[in-house]
Amino acid sequence: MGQANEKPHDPTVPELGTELLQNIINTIVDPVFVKDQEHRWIVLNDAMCTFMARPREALIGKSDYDFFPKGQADIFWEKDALVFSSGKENINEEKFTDGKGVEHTIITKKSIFTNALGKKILVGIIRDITDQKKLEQDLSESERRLRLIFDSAAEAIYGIDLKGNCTFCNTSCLRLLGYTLPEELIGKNMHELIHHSNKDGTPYPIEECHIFRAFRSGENKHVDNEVLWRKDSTSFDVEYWSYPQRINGQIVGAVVTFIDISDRKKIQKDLDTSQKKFKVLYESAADAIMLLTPERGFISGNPATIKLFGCKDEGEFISFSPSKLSPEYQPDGTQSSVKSLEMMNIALQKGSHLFEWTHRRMDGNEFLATILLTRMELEGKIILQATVRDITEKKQSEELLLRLKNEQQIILDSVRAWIFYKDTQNRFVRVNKAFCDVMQKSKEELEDKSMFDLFPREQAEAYWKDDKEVMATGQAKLGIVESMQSPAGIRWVQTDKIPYRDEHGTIIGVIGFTIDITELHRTRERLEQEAQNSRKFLQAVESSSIATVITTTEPELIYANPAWEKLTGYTEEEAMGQNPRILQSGRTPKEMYPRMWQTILNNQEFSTDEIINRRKDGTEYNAELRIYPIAENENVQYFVGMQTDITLRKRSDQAKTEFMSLASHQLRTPLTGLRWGLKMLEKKGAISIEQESLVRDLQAATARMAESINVMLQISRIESGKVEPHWKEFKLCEILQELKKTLDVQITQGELTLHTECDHDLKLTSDMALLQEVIGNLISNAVKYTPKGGTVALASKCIGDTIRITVRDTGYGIPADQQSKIFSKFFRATNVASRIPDGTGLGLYLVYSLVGLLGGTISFVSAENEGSTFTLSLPLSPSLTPPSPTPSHG
Amino acid sequence: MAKRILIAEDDNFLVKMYTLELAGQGYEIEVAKNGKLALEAIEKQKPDLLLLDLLMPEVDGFAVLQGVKDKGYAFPVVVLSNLSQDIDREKCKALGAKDYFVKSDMELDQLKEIIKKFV
Repeated sequence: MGQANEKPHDPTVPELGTELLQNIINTIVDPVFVKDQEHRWIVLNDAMCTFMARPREALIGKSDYDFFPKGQADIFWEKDALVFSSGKENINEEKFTDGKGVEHTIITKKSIFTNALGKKILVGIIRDITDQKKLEQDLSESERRLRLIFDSAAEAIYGIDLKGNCTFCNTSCLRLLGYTLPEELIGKNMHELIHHSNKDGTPYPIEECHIFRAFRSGENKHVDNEVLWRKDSTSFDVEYWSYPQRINGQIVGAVVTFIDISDRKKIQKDLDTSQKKFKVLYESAADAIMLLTPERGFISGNPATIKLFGCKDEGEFISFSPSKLSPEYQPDGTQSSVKSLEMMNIALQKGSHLFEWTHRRMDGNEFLATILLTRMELEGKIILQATVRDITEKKQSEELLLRLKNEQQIILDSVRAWIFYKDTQNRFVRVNKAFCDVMQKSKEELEDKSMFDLFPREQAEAYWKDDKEVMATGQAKLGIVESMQSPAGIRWVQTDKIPYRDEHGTIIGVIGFTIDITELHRTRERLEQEAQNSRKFLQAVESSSIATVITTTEPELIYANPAWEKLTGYTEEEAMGQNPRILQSGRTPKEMYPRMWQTILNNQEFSTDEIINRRKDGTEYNAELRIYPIAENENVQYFVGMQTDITLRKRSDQAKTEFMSLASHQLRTPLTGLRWGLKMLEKKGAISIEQESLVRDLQAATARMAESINVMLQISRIESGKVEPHWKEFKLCEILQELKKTLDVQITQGELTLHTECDHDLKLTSDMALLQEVIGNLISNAVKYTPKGGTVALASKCIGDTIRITVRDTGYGIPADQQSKIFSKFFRATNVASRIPDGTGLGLYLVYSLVGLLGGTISFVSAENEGSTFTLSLPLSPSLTPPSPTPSHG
Repeated sequence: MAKRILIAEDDNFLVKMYTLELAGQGYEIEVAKNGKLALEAIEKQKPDLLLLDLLMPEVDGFAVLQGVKDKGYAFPVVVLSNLSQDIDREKCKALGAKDYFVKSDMELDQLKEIIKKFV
């Protein structure tokens, strides 16, 4: 800049018209100044004044040294001098610091003009390029940085011309594409080299390439779903940007930047999947899930939420505040609006919070729910996620469950069996009263206790073993019989254990039912003993040779032993349910059956040897039958019948009887001759007195023999069943009168006294001849065995339906040890056998047999040397109940 | 004409007793030792009375009674037997016997009375 001219009113300026000039240069935006040869400013425009930040008056006539530091001013002056001396135009870039201390970069163009006065003046125009300079510098800096980025960037960059040939590339580009030197790419067609195929290997025509299409459309392209191909023919997912390059508005090529997004793709894929999952979960969750903040209320809600509250859509839902979807007050009396904020704050502080909440639906209905509030971060903001579960039904079913449990407990407690629920840890969860009672503990004392707390170790282990087995297999274990140490002593128990399952079927323990079988156990032991006895008994019956049956009172056969099967020819199977009548031959004396039934139904034993039965094959056999009634509480329930086959015995009896009959008969004939002969001898009187005596002895002997034969014949006839009573009514005294005739001799001979006492009118229906024989035998016995001077007394008496006849003597009597044998065949008492040798031992046997035939009984009392009394009881008529024919004495 | 009495009895000693007892009574006595001979004797000449034993060899007294009954003979038959059972007694009565005596129970001197009753 020039120095101020010493002559401010230079005549040249006015010549040009100073004012006009001034106006013209003022229109120039750049600062303009004119210096004279003395470097003084003589003209300045407005811009120069502004530039110098001083009014024109302060600048005119002044030089650079007046305003700039000397060093600076020297530089300006030197340039001015150079322009003045050379006369050539000079453009120079200079720096200076203005009055405000701001450094400026300016370009100054200085030219020399010669005015009309011939004086040289210097015209300078200043362009302040401070901003421009800074811009340039910035640009340069950014270019430098760009270059750095260009080369060191992870992003690969390459440029192509309109043909698609590479014009440049950075190191990342080389690296990503698997090349080492830029020359490998420069000048090559990039599409053909690295972009020729799609991901799946199909060709990717250049016409369709986004980069080339960008040439035509002139638009930037951003693509992230293609691949690029490496030198080694592998591909990678790429994201690229293509920027068309223009020069003067003309597209001349494109710059392509790309990055390898294989990893990102993979992560994104994973992310997508998990997002999808979450989304699905969120959308399809049965639980209502929603997002909210204390300030904004609901942000989002899943479909379950919309449904739960009965909203139209998510939009409607979001428009409500949490307290709007609740009644005004919660059940605890707190205002919903207050409490909801409180709950949210707790969740924000604690991270999560679970609580029950009463909601209200759009339709106004309220429901109880559990809410889980969870704090979470979404896009950098803290929000809350709420999971709402309607528990109205759950509550109701919980109440129901509780009621059921109570009812169940009542039932459990009323059961006598011990019932317990145990968990998988061997602890009692639930027990009933019966179990408490036996353990002598309360429910509270038992629950949560384990078996090991309550029982001796060994026992507890045994129980636990069963429990574990049941839980492991899921199979019930029934009828476990074991002993148990209870406070009341050892108990025998039977336990059923079944798996304890929850509502999902998961085994959560064991349920046990225990029955106290201690008593049962003892009873069983006893029963076993009894059963053993029974078995023995049965075995005995089974193996017995006596045919045995059991019948009902019907009678139906319900049991028959093998001997019976063998005897009858029927199998037990055939016989079951049959009437024993199947065995009847029709030849058993008919009157036997009513007698039998009367006896056994009266709960008395019955026996007979009169039975003639028929086998299955039609053959017959004689049987002795004994029937034992089995009564319970005096009611006859069953009969045990025992048959013995007595066919052989009967047959031999019969043979014996026949033999006896024949023998007797054959004896009788010679005896008759003998008797008649002796009588004839006696009558003729042609013999000596001595001979006569002998004949009388012979007659007595034959008479006794004849009598014996008669008795034997009669017995054999009775035994063979050939004697049948001839019933008729008669007076008892008739018999006595008849007897007296024959007895008188004996009485007289024996020097005895005979007393008879008989009601003259006493009548009975019986067999007169047989009864006469009975009484006759009794009296003749009495006479025979009573020493001289003794007494024989006969008495009769009627008692009810029975006639009692007694024959008493003062004779030798019967020794006590022999009394039981008195009615046996051929019995003779030892005390009389020597005294009276001519007894057959058949008399009383005959009496006994005849009494039986007549339906009466006979008994006696006797003492040795004191005498005997025989008592005969007879029914007044045979149709009346006959007393048992069983002999009795005493 | 003397009355004819046929005695059917197999025991010789008893026959001797009968004949001794009836000797001198004016009866014509004929003896048959068994039933067969008795029936033959009857066929030859009918007796006025038959004293009949029951147990005899070859043909017994029951068969003789049956034969007499079958032929329709009218002479009386009295049974003298040692069979003492009622059943035998009744059987004989049914076959037409006029009377029945058990020898061992009767005395020999009863014989004359019995005969007088039927002859």
